[in-house]
Amino acid sequence: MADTPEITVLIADDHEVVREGLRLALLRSPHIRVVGEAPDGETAVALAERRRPDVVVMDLRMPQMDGIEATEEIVARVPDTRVLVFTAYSERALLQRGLESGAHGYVLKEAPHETLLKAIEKVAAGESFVDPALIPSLTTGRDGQDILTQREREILQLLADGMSNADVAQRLFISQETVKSHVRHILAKLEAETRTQAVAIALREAMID
Amino acid sequence: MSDDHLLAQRLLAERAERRRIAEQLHDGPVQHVAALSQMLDAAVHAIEDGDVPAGKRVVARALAVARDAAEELRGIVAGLEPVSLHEVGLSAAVAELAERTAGRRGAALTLAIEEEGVGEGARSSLFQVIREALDQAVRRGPPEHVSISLAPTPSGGVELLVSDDAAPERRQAVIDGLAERAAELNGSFEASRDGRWTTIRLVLPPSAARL
Repeated sequence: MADTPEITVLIADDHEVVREGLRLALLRSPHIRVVGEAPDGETAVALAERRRPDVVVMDLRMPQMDGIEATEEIVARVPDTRVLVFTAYSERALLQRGLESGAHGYVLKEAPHETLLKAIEKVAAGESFVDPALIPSLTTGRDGQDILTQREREILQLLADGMSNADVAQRLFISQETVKSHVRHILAKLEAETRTQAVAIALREAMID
Repeated sequence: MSDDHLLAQRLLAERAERRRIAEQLHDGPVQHVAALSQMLDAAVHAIEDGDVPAGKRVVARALAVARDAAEELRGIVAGLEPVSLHEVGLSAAVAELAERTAGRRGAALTLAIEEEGVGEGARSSLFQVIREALDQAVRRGPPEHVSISLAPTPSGGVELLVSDDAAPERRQAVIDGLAERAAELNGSFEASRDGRWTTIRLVLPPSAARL
């Protein structure tokens, strides 16, 4: 595809089998080129400096230097390289720490290929991305109750599944203005709840195409 | 020690145990299953693109990874609290564990376990220490020889020695974890290297050995 610019990717994960799986999955996308693999944070930083990839797909838990520290180093030393956190952890606290360390995106290791590709492309373009599978865990308040109404949750899920505002309006037989108003409420509630600028921005960009 | 203090220690030990199980699951099967989903995703895309040979290759690899995950899960489940431990004793449970881990990878096993007078709680704890030591030896190696001995001490406690000749220790976290377990049991712990042998030594005082 001539109109799709190439994206270079560095994979950092201490599990060989995970690197292999990711490599096999990315092989199916010709516009993505894996330019290196690192089994720990230090190697990831060194390789990022040397090869200047567009995106580092970064595991959080690695020996010696972990993914959070490595992300901070890369953000400081190779500012043109973006970091996408790639982890098996779905806890909200880790999502916050990951984004606060300067990563542009956060995706789960078992994410479908389409989600992974979208995450890599968005992060490469300098935008933010949060795995839609994490969104339900973000809508639970500190009291354990869902902070969204049923209608808001329904709309959020459709948006997270990749629908546009117009698609959602059509699906639910409501006007686009009503969808937008719901989205404003959803974002306000999520921002108040997560209390983290980074997460709020990532969510906003993940939800509004 | 006061009852409150004992209770607090017990709770801490339980929390540490849960953390260890979480780490084992995270470090093994969770990673395998994640890789598995990436591989199957790649296979589906290859088949959709009409590249059936590539799809087949990736599926074959995914199958191997699925089997690894199943084996790891089975190992974790069996290690949690083997049925044989309380039915036929520590000696049999350790023999089975050593055979399943190090033995199957070709290591020669030397086992000498005297468990008379060792309490049920202590057996359970000693089993976990042995399991972790073996697990680590196999990951580093695998070793050619493994030797496990448990013997009474003159004062009425027990001494556990686990030695292997696998490549030198790399993960300090495992040694720290074993030391932590020993401290929970009120025991003394040391890890040492002598030539190509790595040995861990755990001594439980009489009070802990009879638990």
